[in-house]
Amino acid sequence: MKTRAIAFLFAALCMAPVAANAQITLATLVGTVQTPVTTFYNYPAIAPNATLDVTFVATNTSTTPTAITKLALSGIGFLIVNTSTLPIVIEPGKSITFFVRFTGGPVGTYQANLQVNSAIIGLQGSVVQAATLSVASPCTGPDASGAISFGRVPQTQTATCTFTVANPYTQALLVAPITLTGSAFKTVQASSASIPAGQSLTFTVIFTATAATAYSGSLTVGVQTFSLSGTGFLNPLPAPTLSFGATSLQSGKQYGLTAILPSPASTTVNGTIVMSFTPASSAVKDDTAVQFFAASSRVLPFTVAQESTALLFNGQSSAGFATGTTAGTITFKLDAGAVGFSGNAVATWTIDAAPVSLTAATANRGSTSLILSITGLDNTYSMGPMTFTFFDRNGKQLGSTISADFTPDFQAFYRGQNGGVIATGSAFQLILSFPATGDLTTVGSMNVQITNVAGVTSASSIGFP
Amino acid sequence: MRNILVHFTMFLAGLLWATAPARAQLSPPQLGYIKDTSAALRPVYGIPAAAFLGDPATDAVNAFACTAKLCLAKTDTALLRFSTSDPASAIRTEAPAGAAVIAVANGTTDGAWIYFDGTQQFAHWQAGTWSGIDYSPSGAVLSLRATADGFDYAVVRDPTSGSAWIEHYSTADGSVTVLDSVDTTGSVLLLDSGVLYAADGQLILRRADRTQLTFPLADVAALDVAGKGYVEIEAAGGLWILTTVPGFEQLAMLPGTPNGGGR
Repeated sequence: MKTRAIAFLFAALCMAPVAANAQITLATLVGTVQTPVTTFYNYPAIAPNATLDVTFVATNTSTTPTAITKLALSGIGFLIVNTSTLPIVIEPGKSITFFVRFTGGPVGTYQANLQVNSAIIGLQGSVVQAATLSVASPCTGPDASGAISFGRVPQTQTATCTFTVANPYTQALLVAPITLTGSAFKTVQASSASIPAGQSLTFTVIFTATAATAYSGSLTVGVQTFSLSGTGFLNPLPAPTLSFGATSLQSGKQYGLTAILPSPASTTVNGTIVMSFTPASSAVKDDTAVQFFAASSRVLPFTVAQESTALLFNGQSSAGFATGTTAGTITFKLDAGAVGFSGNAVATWTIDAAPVSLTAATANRGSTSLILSITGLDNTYSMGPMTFTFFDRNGKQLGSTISADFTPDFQAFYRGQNGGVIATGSAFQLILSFPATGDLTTVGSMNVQITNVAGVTSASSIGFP
Repeated sequence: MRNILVHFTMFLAGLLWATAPARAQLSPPQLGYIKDTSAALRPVYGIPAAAFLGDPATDAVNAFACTAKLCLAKTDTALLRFSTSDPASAIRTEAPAGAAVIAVANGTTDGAWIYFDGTQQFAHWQAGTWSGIDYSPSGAVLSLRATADGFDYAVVRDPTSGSAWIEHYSTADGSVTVLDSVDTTGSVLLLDSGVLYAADGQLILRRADRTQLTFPLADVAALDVAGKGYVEIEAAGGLWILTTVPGFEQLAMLPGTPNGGGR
């Protein structure tokens, strides 16, 4: 229950003024507000078996140190708590605090004298009939300090608890006031109620967590005040399903990554998606072409709107990414910041080793040579053996197939490109010039085969213009 | 670039006979140059779907065309010619202010044809100088293509017609011949072996033999020859590169474009 301090004169218990102790003044302290107490202090009424602590402040108003040599209580139902060992020296202008607890007892009135050095303060407290309060789930409490918790509630959501105020007595009980503080807590219960003997009153209190923060309030039921608390939090996003519009990833391609939540987001969430790449080959450490287009980066922000299931990347429903030119594994990891995900928001896909992929192949005639230009990628970094077959304009093969092994050259080329992180990955352009004599216009086309550890790639009917 | 010598023995069925080392060059691919979103001309390396942009060769470009060996770019008031392997060696020539359409010849010479929008004038560029020709078609010139005896051009004479005409101008006799038309008044790019144009949310690559490929791509704003076999496409969704080499056609998005969105 919340401590309250109200001072007023009680003429019947007027004691001698504190003239002999003018250096020390007493006051009650509630929050940061001190209220002077000169002769008497009346505690607010409490319920049976409840207690109420009041903080007293003793201040030295003189210009010399003053010691408190006497701090005592006489009477029933009160107790000094947390005092230091006497004497307590108070420097000029300084204060000490101590607590006097009204421990109460059966319904009735209790008095005691509080003595501070030569000053005596009359204390009085009352124990009155009071209803008992209980709360139903999801609320918990009240505990020994009168705290009732609504627990954690997703932001924008509510928690509704049923409060029961019971009259344990054999006669009707007027409960007043019944008041609620705290903007996050609402009830339609009237501000007072008469509860028949042995009966109870129920009402609901609704806690609304408009933001992800802690809320507090209070409920006063007659002489009892209970603290209310509740915390709003951002509901974790369910882990999304990631897909890229195909069943498998291939090097040298671009895909659109989509991320769909299995259920709508309870609030708008901003986060990031980070992609990483681990090459399959130890020959390279990375492939920087593996990235999102938008930022030429491996990090992209995303937003998912409240009640939406689709993550948006720069306002788009998909995030274009390139697979680069190296076999390996691509991992996408989503980070929803403080909101987080309730599951594993990570996807890892493998780019398998594949035969050489050609992105362009052209053939041309020089004056004394036939020129082949091929552009492509080898995501295994192992290519080398090649064959070349020429055909005339009628498709008849000219001579035998020519074989050559460029393995050492490609290995040297890739080492030269490497230096740790390859700028263009395994992408290559190979221009081959075949010296020849005769009527080169009779050559119509050629076939090329390229071999790497994953297989053989054929480019057929590369036409000469 | 890595040079390799491989000894081949070629027996070509009596038509040719050759035995000599074959010269091979192995290098990282350079696809050409593209105009980025800030109008800087930048080299493109790698393969289309895993490309890298290099440092700008020049900026404030409003038109350009590149072959495998050279680029010709138009800034507001100048033409810049540079080797694709050495952009620092650019030759600058004063030119009429405004936009332009450029076609670089894909032959051994480095000649080019230019249409200056500001003066509505065709010009021939050669060895660092340009000279105008006495012909100006009515309508909006969309694209140029160098030919053996002059140039082809795509022109929209009537914006309400829904089509662009492809015509040929012969420098030999000054004649103009209608070659073809495409059903668009949007972006058109004449290629060595066909025409690329945008229509109805699609990019259409029509070969000389009338076969065609379509790529879904909306809001195409510009088409430029990035290099031999590669076209840069500026669309609302970003910058794209299209491989036009027969049999290897592929549309890929370039890195660093405004959004990584779909087509």
